[in-house]
Amino acid sequence: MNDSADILVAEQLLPDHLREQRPLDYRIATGSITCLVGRNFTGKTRWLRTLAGLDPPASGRLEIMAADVWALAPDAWQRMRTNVAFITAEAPVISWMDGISNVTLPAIYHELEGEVAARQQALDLLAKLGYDGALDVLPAYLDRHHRSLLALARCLMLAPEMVFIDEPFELTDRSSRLAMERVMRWLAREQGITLVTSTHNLAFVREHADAVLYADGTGLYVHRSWDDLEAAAPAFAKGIPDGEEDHG
Amino acid sequence: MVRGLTTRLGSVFGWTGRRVINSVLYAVDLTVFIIHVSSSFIRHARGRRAAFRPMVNQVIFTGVDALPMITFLAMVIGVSLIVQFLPLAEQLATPQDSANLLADLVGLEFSSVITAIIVAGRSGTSLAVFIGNMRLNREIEALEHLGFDVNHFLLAPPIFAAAVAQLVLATYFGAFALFGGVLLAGLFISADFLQYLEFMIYGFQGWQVAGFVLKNLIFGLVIGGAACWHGMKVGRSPTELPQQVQGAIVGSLVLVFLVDAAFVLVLR
Repeated sequence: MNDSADILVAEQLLPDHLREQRPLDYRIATGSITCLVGRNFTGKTRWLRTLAGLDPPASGRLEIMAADVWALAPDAWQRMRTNVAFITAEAPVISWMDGISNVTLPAIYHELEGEVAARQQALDLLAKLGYDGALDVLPAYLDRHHRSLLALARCLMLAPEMVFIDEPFELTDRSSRLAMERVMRWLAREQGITLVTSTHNLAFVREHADAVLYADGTGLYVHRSWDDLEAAAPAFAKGIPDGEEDHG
Repeated sequence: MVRGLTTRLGSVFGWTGRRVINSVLYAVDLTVFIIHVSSSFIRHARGRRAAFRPMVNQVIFTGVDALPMITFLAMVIGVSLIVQFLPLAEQLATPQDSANLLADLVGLEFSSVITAIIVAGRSGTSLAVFIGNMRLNREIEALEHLGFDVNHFLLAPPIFAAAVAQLVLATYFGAFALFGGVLLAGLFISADFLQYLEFMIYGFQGWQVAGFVLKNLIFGLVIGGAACWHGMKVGRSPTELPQQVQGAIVGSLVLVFLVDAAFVLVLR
């Protein structure tokens, strides 16, 4: 039974390339922030992609917005993607289109807006995201933080109900990380978008996560709060490098 | 010794057989890919506006930008063939027969094949690099995550554009090589050549023109399709890009020559 407050329901879900791990039973509440944490090479990205319905699971069932994802016809799966955004760690934007065209493209392709209206909507959205980069240059001439904001704005043009972001704070400086934190807070708390992110930014997790999914290489474990995670995996929560727990 | 010879002969036949089977499978796979991409484009009414712009850009790049090179080559090849061929043909056939032969060879045959080589070398390579780079940078995956049908938005426009551009360029090449060649030869070598202008106009049969149109559309589909297909085969490593670009060009040119041979056999 699906609780209407749950936007995502995973039952005995197991990613295809992590068959040796423990299956996951989990529900994500609408408008919440869920963070996937764990050391490198524990399968966080595979779990995130499987939860987002991008990679077919080895077993189990995934329901997003009351639809059984892997029972959907290809056209319906494509339509679902406009409601469930996914941004990979590289946050790739179209290299042959300038910044503003990248942002307006999905709205024009899906015929949600005309070109002029889409451009205005994109400018408003970029202003809300605090984008201060150039809009008329190719993405190769922008820094990583600006490219990430363009990728995020491009998804938001479709007004998704759920956004998955893989490593949004990776390879950015402190001020960019803080700016991205502010954006993510705004998305979840003010826009009501359900956010699921895989991250190494434990400060963000501690402060804002409604639920923490901890990947330790044997499975994905659900913790309802930071304290819960700290009790279960104290070395990880304190940021102690792998293998040095005993030397604490 | 006999057994060794038999084994060696067997391996030669085996190698030849494998190559033939692989070539047939390549052609079948490419045809299925082109049909799949085309059906996606036809099926989706939504998003045509967004897909139309890349198609126009591709036609401009493949067709319009190639015009100076095509013009130059058409003039050079036209004059060179006409000056060598017509004096010889005059001794063997009537002027009308000679003009028919020239229209056949230059206007319908050389124009298609030489244009296909130029389109494959120029647009095929850049298209394969373009798609391959998008694959490498995971831009295509990102589009799929946004609910885009990549076949419809990204692949169908350049394939159709290549078909249109190939037909237009081959027609242009044929016209320039024949009429421009005769005109130049008449102006600079001998005015006698000018009489062939009129003969050539009547040198084309309706079925030949229909065959020319169909053949060039297929050439363009093959070149654009092979470039996109190989570009989409690029995975995560940059080393795959040059391999796939090479595969696209060699594969498309081999198929172009095979299709040309098939047309010659069928239309004779």
